[in-house]
Amino acid sequence: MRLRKKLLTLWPVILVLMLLSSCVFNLFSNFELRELLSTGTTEQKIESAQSALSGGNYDAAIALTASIINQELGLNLKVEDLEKLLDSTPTVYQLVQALQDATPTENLIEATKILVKAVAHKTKKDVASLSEGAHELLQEIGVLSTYSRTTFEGNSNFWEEFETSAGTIVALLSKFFDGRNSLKILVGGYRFIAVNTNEDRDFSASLCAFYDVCYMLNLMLDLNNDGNITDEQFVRGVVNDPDSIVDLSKETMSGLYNDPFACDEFLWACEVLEDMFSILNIESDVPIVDSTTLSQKQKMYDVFIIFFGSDGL
Amino acid sequence: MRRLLLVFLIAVSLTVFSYQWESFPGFFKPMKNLAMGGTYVTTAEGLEALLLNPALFEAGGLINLDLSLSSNVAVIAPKLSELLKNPDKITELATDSQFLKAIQGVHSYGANLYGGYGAKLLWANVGGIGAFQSEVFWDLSLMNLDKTEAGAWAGYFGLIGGSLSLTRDLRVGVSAGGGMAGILIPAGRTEYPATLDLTDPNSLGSILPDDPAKIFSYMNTPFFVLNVGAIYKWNDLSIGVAFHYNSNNLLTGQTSQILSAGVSYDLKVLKLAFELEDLLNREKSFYRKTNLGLESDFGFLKLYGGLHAGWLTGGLKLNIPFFNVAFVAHVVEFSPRAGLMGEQKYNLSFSVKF
Repeated sequence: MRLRKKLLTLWPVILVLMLLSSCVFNLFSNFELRELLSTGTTEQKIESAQSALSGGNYDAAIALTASIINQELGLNLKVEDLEKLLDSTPTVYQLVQALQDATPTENLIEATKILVKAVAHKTKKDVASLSEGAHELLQEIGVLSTYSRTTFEGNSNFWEEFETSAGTIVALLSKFFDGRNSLKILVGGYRFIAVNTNEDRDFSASLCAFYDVCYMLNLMLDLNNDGNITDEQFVRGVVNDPDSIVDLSKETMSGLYNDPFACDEFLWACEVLEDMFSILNIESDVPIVDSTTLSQKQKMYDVFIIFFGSDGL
Repeated sequence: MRRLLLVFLIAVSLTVFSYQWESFPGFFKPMKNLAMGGTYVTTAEGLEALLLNPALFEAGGLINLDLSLSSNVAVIAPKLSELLKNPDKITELATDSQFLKAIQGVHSYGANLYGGYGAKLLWANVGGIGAFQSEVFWDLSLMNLDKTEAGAWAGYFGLIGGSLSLTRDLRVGVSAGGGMAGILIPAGRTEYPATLDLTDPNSLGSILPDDPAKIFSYMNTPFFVLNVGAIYKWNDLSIGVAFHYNSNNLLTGQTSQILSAGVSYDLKVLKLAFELEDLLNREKSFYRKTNLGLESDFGFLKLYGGLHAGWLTGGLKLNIPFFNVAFVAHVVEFSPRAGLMGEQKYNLSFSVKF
């Protein structure tokens, strides 16, 4: 009887411990991180950030690398800001701005490399997620066959498939346009790496260009300025009825309208895109516009016209 | 000046990639100790205590097989088994995002086979244990394929030792032995693990053994092991200390010394253990060295729980006469700091007692 009682009491405790251990939860990591952020040397922080990245502790990797950048560039950011970097818009913009103007050092480059990888993993914008998105996209338009879909037969079906799947394609891609702060770090970080290193320069420049376009679309589509676009009426409308994209863009207000900050950021992103095209030896023809013109374009359609011309729509 | 710079760069790269190996040839923890948060100074038992704290060694015979699996096993095992059946699927696997995501990060797989026998001889327990160990390890990021780290090692060793009571409350033990170990990947080399450039098709081929049949010939590094321990029991309270020495730790290329101290209290229903592991290691933080363990014995069933460097652990053992089966969920911490580079693992253990 006593044994039965013991079993009944302890089973749930051990079971909970086992389940929690499966959740990969660490009780000491916050204390450890706080101690490292407060008293760790740059070498200790780089080593720990690298470890945290490999171990999947992306929050720690982000905080530690941001702390190195903070230390190297004298930004005077608080430990609390570093611990919640992606949630703090002013800190993100201050950090990226400082990085843009910084003289590259070995520590700074190493920290930035870890930072962008950690941010990409944390926000599911890393290479594996991008390839997964691309894979799903190609399956959706029938270029890659799956068991659930009919096999793509020749080019004649391509556009038909594309049109019918456009809603799903937008839904698949739009998740990469979410998270304005993380996109800003990815663009600024990869730009810093591409401009200041020779190793994997093309790869960094390509990723920078991709995240940059995502950032531009985020600025343009995010009307409520919450940093995400999947909750916007325009995106939901296009997902549900892809044919209505032009009509919707004529009805929907631009995220840049009467928002000088968003316009300045959009123009910064245009400059970054041009820089990356130059590194990748791609001839670009990004239209030259000023902040005032952009902020006066009320509807999304008007902005599209500037960049794609009326023939593109 | 160039030389100085080179030495500095090597030192920096060694610092950045200095993994904290939790098991190496001549040292590993049996499943019970892994489940109890890695504690062993006051919680090791039976023949296996010869490996960890010989003061707790008791007479008996044992043959045991431990399989150590990374948490990604559920995703990668079916896909690799398909690949073995149909090698043409390698291209499909290389573009399988679910597979690619699962292999990212730090992972290891291992197997330990060991057995031995001990008996009472006058006032002491004496016995010996022999073990074969092997492990495969990799640390991979798809965003850094040119800096992938991978390795595999294997080793075998034997230990003889004994324990005796010096007073009614104080028990001491010692075990010593030696063995051979070797790095299989990168084959025949001394650095572990190897840094690979997966974007270069020749990179992987250059580190694999030429002839898998000659794997034992790679186990050509001798090592000597010594374990010394003491345990003081005062009613239900136990206080212990254990020291492990390895003359040539294959994975670090240096000697290893692990000094650990622990205390446990037996509440009858539950045994509680607290331990500080690897006290001499100046790289590891206090939190990283801290282990906590729980054990409850119901005769046919033993339940374990714990905290290893902040990671929760748990396990259970079915104690059928002569035969035990155990399952453990635990985390290996590869960083000198708690919670930074954990690898979630599952262990299965099968043992025969006689």
